[in-house]
Amino acid sequence: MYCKSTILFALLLGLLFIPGSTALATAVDRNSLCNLEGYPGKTISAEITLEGTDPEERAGFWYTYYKEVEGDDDRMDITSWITIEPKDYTIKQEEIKAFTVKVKIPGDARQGLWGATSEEAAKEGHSAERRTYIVFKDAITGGNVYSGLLIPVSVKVLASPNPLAPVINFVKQNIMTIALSIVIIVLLVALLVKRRKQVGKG
Amino acid sequence: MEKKILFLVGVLVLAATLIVSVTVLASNEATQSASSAKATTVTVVGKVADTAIATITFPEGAPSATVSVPYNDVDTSSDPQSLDTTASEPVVRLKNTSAGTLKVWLEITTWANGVAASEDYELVVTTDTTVAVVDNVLSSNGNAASVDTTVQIPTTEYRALYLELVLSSLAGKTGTSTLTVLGETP
Repeated sequence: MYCKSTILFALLLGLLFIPGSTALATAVDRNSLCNLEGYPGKTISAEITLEGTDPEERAGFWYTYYKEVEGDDDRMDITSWITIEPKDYTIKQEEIKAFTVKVKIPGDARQGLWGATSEEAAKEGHSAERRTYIVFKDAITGGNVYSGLLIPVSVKVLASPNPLAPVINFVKQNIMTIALSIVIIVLLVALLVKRRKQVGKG
Repeated sequence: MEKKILFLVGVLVLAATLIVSVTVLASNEATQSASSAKATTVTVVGKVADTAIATITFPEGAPSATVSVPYNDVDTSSDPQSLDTTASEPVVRLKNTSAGTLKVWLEITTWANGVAASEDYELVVTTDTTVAVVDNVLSSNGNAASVDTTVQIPTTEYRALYLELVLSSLAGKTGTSTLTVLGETP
């Protein structure tokens, strides 16, 4: 009886050490790249990383995708603005690989939102507002079944920047200190002038 | 008079110093901390085991025939998909290992050598074993296609995927295509 109990206990204990066969695929650190801000003619760069979680090596690649919806205007498809480097990859378990997403805004792009119909597109429940995506997908090396994720991209094209904007912002943020400094300088100058006059008379 | 001016300057310097100090104090920030889990792709696993599959194979059929017994490399040809009104079994299961719900898209590349005339799918909860008909269109002509299934998989849950291929009228051809399961935050 004692022997049977010991064997049963040992079996139950052994079950705790059997590794779970949880198959995983590839993880990404960003599930949207929405509302990126930039000026016409400029390039926006963003880094995105993948992490391998599958026990087997996976091979895959990045590409862009436009979800065409009837009635879309020319602001929705910005796939031609986007490049991802490197495009192809292989990834092993616990390996982390970084990729650079570059969005080159054309010089003649008009101000406003591009690539989505709303600034809310990144939020859950707003998939209908997304149009342009970057996609990664991979498969066990040699396989024909891929899995991946759609990552929405949108860009807020800003009006060309005012070159004096940084100075104006600095003055706005330090208006009291600047005003007091000016008063102090004026008073000191007045004092200095008065002294010189007194010295001149003497 | 000079003393008054110097006194005034002193007061103003003090005031400016206080303003700067207040600004510095105001710019101090309380530290907050939060973290979010990474988004993970939908995993395509075997019918029973949580083992990632690499391939799906449709067995040979007559020209223009419908092939509804594909199998994956984990369960092998001995345990193919089965369509039945009471005990259907999918070709693979899709598992959401991401931290949140994902909406599923299916994509195929064009079938090589014109071997396929069309391909259909069904994506259902795994407890539904009444799938006897597979008729959601994945590709109507065997060419590359992308379909938003609108099916959502909550985190840690599974869905059962059924596939069916209609072969083209060409005889003696073998072709391949890749199937992609894409997830999107709904």
